[in-house]
Amino acid sequence: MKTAQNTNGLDLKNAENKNETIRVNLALLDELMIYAGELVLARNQLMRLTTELTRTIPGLSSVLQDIDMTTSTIQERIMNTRMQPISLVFNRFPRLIRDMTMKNKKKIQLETSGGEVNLDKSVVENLYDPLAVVMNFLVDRDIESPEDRVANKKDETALINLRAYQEGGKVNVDIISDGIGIDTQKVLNTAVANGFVKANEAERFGRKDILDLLFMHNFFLTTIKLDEGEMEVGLHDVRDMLEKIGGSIGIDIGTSNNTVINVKLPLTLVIIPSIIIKVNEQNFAIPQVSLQEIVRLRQGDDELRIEQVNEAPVLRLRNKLLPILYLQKVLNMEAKDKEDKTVRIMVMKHDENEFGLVVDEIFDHEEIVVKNIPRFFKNSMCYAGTTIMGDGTVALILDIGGVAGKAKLNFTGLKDQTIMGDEMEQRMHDDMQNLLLFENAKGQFFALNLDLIRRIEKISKNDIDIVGEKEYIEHEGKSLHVIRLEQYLPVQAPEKEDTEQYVIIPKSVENPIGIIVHRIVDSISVNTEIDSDSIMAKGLIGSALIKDDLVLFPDIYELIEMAEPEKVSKHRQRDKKKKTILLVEDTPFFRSLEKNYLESAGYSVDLAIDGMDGFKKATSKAYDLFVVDIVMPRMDGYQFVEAIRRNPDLQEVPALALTTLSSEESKEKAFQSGFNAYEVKVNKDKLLETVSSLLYK
Amino acid sequence: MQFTTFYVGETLFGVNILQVKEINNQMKYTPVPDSADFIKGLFNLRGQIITIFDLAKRLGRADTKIEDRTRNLILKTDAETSMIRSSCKLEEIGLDAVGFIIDKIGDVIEVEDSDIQPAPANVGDISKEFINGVVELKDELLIILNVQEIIRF
Repeated sequence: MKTAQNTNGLDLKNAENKNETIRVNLALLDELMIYAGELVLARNQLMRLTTELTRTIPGLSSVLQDIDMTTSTIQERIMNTRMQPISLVFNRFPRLIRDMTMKNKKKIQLETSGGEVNLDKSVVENLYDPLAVVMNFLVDRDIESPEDRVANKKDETALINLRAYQEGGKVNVDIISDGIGIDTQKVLNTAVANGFVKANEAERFGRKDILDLLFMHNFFLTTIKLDEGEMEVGLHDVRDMLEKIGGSIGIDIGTSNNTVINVKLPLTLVIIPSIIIKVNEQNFAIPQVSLQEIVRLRQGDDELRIEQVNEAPVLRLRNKLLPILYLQKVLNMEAKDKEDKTVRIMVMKHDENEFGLVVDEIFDHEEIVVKNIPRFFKNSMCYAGTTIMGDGTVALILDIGGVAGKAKLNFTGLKDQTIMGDEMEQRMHDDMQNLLLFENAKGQFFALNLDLIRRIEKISKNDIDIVGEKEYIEHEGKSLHVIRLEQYLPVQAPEKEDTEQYVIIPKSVENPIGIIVHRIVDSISVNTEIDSDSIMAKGLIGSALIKDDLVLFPDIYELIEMAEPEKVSKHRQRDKKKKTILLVEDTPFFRSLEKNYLESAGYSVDLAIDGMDGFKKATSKAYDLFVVDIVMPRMDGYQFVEAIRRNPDLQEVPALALTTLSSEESKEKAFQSGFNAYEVKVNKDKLLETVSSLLYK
Repeated sequence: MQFTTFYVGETLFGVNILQVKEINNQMKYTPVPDSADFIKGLFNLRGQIITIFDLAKRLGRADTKIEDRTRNLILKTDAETSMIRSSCKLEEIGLDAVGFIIDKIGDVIEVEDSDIQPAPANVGDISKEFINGVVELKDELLIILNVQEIIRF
């Protein structure tokens, strides 16, 4: 080994001195690489077979070590022969920028660095187009005209910084411009206006979600001359192009509100990170870029979580409906019964669509060497390539886009279904609560009602600023006080802090506070009673057993009071004696929603399904307030309140009309009938404000 | 010209020996779901991915049963025959490596060009398109396979 190294080093040195190169046919290098891969496999087998013998044969182990190291070195060096500097791509941009600025009269200086970073030839060859679209986006949308820049006290000449650097097994390309930056609200509004996002979903969108919208189909379109010719492309296509070469792209807002685009590229296309899965006793590799997460449903869970919408199976995951594909069926494999009833779902993302792929087994992540798929299988669309596994057998690499296409997943149809599906679900189980499950210390679970949550933001540890004893993050341009559960509740802190954490921001509070949680587990829909006796502490509503795990329910409003006692929300009920409200509502969906809202503010709520039922309940128990729907069968809201006002015991109890009717006429009629207030469904803040004013006037 | 001969069922076939890379008995294939039914699967031959065709099935017969004498006949790709293809009149079969499952290996037979007769309409159950020609041997008929056609679909 020593001699080998020496000669090797010496030769290389000489080669450098003389700067000698020879031309080599690329096909020859490819072939060498195949053999190098083969050598690695043979080495692995040899090592396995000889472990036993090393004890009996003296010297064998050191020979094996030499073979081991030399093999790795050979493979690495052969890979290196295909490497090219990224400057081959970078050098083309000054011209592109010059051409663009001549057209639009902007002044831009381009600075590049890291051109010496090496990438596999196939990556370098396919990098210009996506980066050119990104440049186009920045020059077009981000960088202001010289006049505007001067007016904003900026340098007349804008700066675009293009830099490459290696980090981990990846090459990063950052493109940073000092333009106006991205107005997330504007992006969200455009998305809502164009129907990409439903207005009622929009408020749940965090900063990262909004930035992600930029990659939706047709969001940003530009006509640009690319290597493939003149074409209309969008940022969506950039993501596509990059994913094809195993890369990814992200947009962020920099420290001075500028735009930061980060592209991550694999060093080589030939080796990609993948997940090995098994279906019908056969292994397949799935490129890791498209994998979002893995969901396991234990036996019995699947009824709860896999539902049918339009006769197609869907998975309910954190209030989204994901279409479900069974790989076995997509590939037309024969159905086999398994003993193991656990359902394993890989949540995949292709384009901006997510879907769940059901497989039998999921193994570890593995770096695989990609080989072409023979032409005989091109018809199938499901395969992106082949690879050779550690044991020498061939495995197919799945093409996730192809799999989705083959199964003809109709994502748009399903997106429209999502909301309807949600409502239908609500109608069917009106007592179901949608809970967000999360974990703080390992094994300690918490739940919050999703209706109480406005946003969940993913943050990194560095996003947290400490001022005095309090922690803050920046949220929507303001600083937001964030607390940790262990600071106010008798619970454990997470053993170690991950760099990525989540902040839950509750809805409808005047002085928002974020709650830092360690890990989001799931969102579930359960019919559960909260037990407020067994485990009780200030800041807790109670506990419940969900799927055999003990789950604590923090009381957000109480936590906020504890964290900021000086700023207590006015809406919240002020005395400790619970006020009881009778909610008279015939529509199950609204019944559960309004109940949630009222309960979230700390009231105790009884339900009645129409005026008749309501009147019966009103006369049998003392209530502090009636919240009443107008249009109901048997006895409507007007009749109900008239009956109440005629009853001497109930005359003084305030009544709030809550309705979808918003005409002046119906409002007048409501007050004439005896209602004390009138609110249109369903504005939570206004509802709680009015409820509070009626109870504490 | 020399031909590598082999049997599929009782029928004797031949392929130009220069087209043959090797014959082996590695019978562990990776099946490819959602592909043509006459493709048996893939296997790894020293780093090369070989697509194995079930020749009997391709010719319209029942699936080959794997027995002791079953073999894979692996063919050279165009890259591997590039130096000799035109001078030796080999077929172009593309860059993807292919092989056939055969029931039994036969002899290497020397045949004069003039002995090869054009294919009649049909030879038994074998349709004409798969046949490049026939040679009448002493007591049987040798069918020269049109490899190009067999792997085109």
